[in-house]
Amino acid sequence: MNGFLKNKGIWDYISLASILPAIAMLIYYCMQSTADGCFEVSIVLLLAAGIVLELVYFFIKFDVLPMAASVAFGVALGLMLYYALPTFSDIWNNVNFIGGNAEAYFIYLGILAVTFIVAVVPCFLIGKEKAPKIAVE
Amino acid sequence: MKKTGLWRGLTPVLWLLFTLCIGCTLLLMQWAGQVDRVLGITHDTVSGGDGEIVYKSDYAEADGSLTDAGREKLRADLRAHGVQTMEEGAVLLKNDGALPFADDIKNVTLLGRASADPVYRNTSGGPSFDPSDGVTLKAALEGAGLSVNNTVYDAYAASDKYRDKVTGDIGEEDPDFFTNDIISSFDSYNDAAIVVLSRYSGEGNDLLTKDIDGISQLALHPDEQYALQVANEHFDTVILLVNSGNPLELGWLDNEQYGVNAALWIGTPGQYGMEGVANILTGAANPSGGLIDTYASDSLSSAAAQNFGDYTYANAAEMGLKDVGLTDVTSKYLVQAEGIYVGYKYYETRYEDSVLGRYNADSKAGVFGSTDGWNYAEEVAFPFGFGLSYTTFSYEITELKADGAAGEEFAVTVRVTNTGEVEGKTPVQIYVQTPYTDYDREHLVEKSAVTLVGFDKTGDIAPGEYEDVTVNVDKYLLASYDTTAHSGEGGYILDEGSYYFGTGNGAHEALNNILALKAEDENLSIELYDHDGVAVEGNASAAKLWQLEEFDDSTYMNSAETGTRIDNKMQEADLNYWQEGAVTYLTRQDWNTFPKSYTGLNATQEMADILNKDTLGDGTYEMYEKPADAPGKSAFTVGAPVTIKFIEMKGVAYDDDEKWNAFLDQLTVAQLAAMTKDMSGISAIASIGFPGIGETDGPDGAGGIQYVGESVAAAAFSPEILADRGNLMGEEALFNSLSAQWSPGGNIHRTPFGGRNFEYYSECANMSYLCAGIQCEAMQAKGLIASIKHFCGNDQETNRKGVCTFMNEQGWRQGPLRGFEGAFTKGGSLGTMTAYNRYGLILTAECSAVNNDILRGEWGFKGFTITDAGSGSALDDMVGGTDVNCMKDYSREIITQINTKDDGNMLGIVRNANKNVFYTLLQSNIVNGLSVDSVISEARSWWQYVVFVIDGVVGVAAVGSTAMYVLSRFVRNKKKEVA
Repeated sequence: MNGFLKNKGIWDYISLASILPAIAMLIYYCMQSTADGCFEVSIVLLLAAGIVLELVYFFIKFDVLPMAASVAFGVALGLMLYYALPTFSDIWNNVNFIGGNAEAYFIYLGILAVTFIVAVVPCFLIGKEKAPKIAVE
Repeated sequence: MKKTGLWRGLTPVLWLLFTLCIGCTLLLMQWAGQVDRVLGITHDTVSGGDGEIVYKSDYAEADGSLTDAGREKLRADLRAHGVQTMEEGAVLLKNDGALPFADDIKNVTLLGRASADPVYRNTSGGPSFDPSDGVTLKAALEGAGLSVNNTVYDAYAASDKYRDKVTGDIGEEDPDFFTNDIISSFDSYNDAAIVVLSRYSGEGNDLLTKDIDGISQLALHPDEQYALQVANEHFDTVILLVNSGNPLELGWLDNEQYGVNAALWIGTPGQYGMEGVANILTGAANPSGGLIDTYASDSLSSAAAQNFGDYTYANAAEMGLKDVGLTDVTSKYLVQAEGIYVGYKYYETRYEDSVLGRYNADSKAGVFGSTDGWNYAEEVAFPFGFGLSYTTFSYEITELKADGAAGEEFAVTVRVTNTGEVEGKTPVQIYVQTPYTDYDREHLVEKSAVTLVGFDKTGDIAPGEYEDVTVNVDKYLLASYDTTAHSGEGGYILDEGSYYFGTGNGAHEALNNILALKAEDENLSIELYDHDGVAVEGNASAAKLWQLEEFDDSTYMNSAETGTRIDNKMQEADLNYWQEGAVTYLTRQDWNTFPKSYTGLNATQEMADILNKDTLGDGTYEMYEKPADAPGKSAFTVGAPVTIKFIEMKGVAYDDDEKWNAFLDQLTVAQLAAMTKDMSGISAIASIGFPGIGETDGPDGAGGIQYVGESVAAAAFSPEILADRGNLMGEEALFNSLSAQWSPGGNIHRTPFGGRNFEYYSECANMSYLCAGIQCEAMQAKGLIASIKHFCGNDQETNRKGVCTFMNEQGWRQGPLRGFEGAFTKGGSLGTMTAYNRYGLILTAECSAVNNDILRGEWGFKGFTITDAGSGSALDDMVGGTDVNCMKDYSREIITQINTKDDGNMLGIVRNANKNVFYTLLQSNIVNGLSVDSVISEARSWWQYVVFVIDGVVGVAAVGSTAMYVLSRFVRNKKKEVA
């Protein structure tokens, strides 16, 4: 266990931490979007892929993995904005054409943005800080 | 390592950006037409060719070209039309001699925040007020030679108050506004006070029955009362302008505390209407409008208002019915228990029964404004059709001929005499009272005491002179729909008995005139009174009797347009079909059936099953399944070599199946599917020489100036003004390269609170029928497809997306459907936009019973139907009789269904939709100059290339970053190995 942790730097943990908002997003999205009738499987698949990649990275130190996870989260964020913009346009134009749950879209985008940032920042910095040495008795 | 980290971090960022770019590109391409419009880009998709200019502009040069000079002339005529529309459509409600202004009225003060910030038009699709040449009230009055108090005006203009559609805040200044400076400024401008009261509504927002102040939004609010009291205190002359598309409560007009000397309803004035207002005030024009709504003392008193607003199925959650986040709702309903008794049909009918002392008409049921039992004069402030003039008129029906041609069976000649002292013109309104018989009572066929069946307008009549005006009336408008006729199959009937034609200053006066004649004929003793409660005799000479000797259920058994049997088709849009006895519709034979509010209804499992299937989300919920016996797509030819160009189909009859099939065979499945989407226009198809079209939205404009509101135009009761309106819209469309317009508005003012009443004609469905017929004919004559909207039943904005709208069939036929019918059967309209709501449980765009069986089967419509913006489904719409989706691209889903399911049934439906669209557009101005030699360009706008370049750059950067990461990673490993 200590050897396992010996190889982990602070950015590895932060990278792993990105799965927390990702899981929260996955759960909330599945519940809310089905209620709103705007479920897109692509979002779920991308989130799932990102979560799996981050988890695998925590056990197999292959630095492509957090990058790939960040790409997955980033594409999910971009797609979500594509889905949300028509609904937002109703608000900007003070009309009720497209409809949709604007509040939910704001929440989705917020959580996805946090997920992406938490995932991508470590990508720049992984390996810059050595893992703390744990004394082995 | 550093660089590896850089690429490792940059790569996801660039892929995020690339995703955003692609997403934005997709949205921009979907909305390309709108983007072009914003950027001022117009496409000349057509070059070459020497085709005929079929639809000529009256403002074209000798060679047929449309120039800036011609546009300027058109603009000048648009301005003149706007002024005339207001002059003839504004309604003078009260005048104790204050108007027109005497010569010594020079310096005036405008009060009410709306005086500086009027509602030129409420919010909905359509042109905006252009301040560069739009006429404000102040400018109009100054142009008419008056001086306006700038101190007060500037203070209102600088106000941070605003009208709020959501809370219902009317945005009036509070008493603190009247500072000493303001009050003292009156001294120099005290010849008259002009107080402007306004209301603001719009798409998606009805007015509120209880607003932020806790009262009806149509009631006089405390801040308005204060402004009126200030006016009364400081001015000897107080003029009220009612700037509202909705009928305010005006029962207080004679209150001495407000001291209103004259009141003028001006509706929504648009770009130039205020000039007409000023002309009326100064006497340059003599007002001649009539109200297109009943103005009740209490806005909540109509039969329809008892079921207006937000109603949720009590068991919605249990049944899985939703109202959150969907582009439509399944949990909302509306029971229109008033049936035919909308607006004056309620008030005037109950009046007749009350003066005849029958049917419990003076009971306490439905009492709002009356002090005891129901009393017309206490319930109604101003009747439908009522309007004053600066002169007075008398009316006499001198002749009633009853042997005219079909559609003009009656010719009613009215002698209008100017009994006053100044020249003026006036509407000639023809009403009919049909017999209310034992048969009707037994079979629940409801009859209004009077119904408008025709109108015209005099010219200017000098004092003492008269003019004879003949109005042709279609006997069809006298018929009533009976769901029990023909052994329960339903149909229109004409009862045997006495039919009274009447005229006068509005529905109430016409009814009193009819009752005066009826009293003579039937030796009745009736005490009649006007809307102020003053006893009147009625004028029997302004009425005429026509007798039908035999019950007639055959004349209108079949459609005059198609010969199709007219029978019950709306039964599933009646809640009683799903829940027997759930609704007691208002019946005249007992006014104690005045509607209750149907709150807390449950949906049955059967209803919920349908609603849960027939719903829209951002995903697709389709009920359609390929029929078991459907042919494969090989039943049709697709993508055949092109031998027939689009323009060569001009003049081909709609029913020439051979020619149409040969034309449609030339299109691929993708091209057929692409024609079912309208993203601010329909795209060109170069191979068949189809140039594509642009279109525009709104009953109050054709992509250019903001017209005076449609309801004001209707209030002129002038076929000439309506025809001019349609003609000028057609002219604008020619100059703006637009071929279809979502206009006019055909829904009815079911209640005073409807958020879009301003852009619909009237509370009277027959009024809408007549007006739409005239306007649509004029638009179509100029090659502008008059795509009347929203078809139909979208008579409130609340829950409009998906509300289950229930009513009995007679109510549907003689109400919402009638309001549209004239556009097609009289006006030849070739387009219609469906509505967001449901007929019962079925979304309007998916309702074959209406779109196919009534619209096409009965009314002979051959044009195209389009969904309301952003609504609709891919397949169910097509099956339900919709041809095009507005602002939605379902071409992919349609192609998938046809190709992967080998669905020849859907292919046939889509081909038919294409035929409807192409046939319609061949009757539009898009054919101008088109010939077989015309070259169609499908070129993109410049911004699309810019977008593609950006996409490319970002995409390359993303790929490049990925490659750099891989390289740096590989190089790092290689170097490590070497080391």
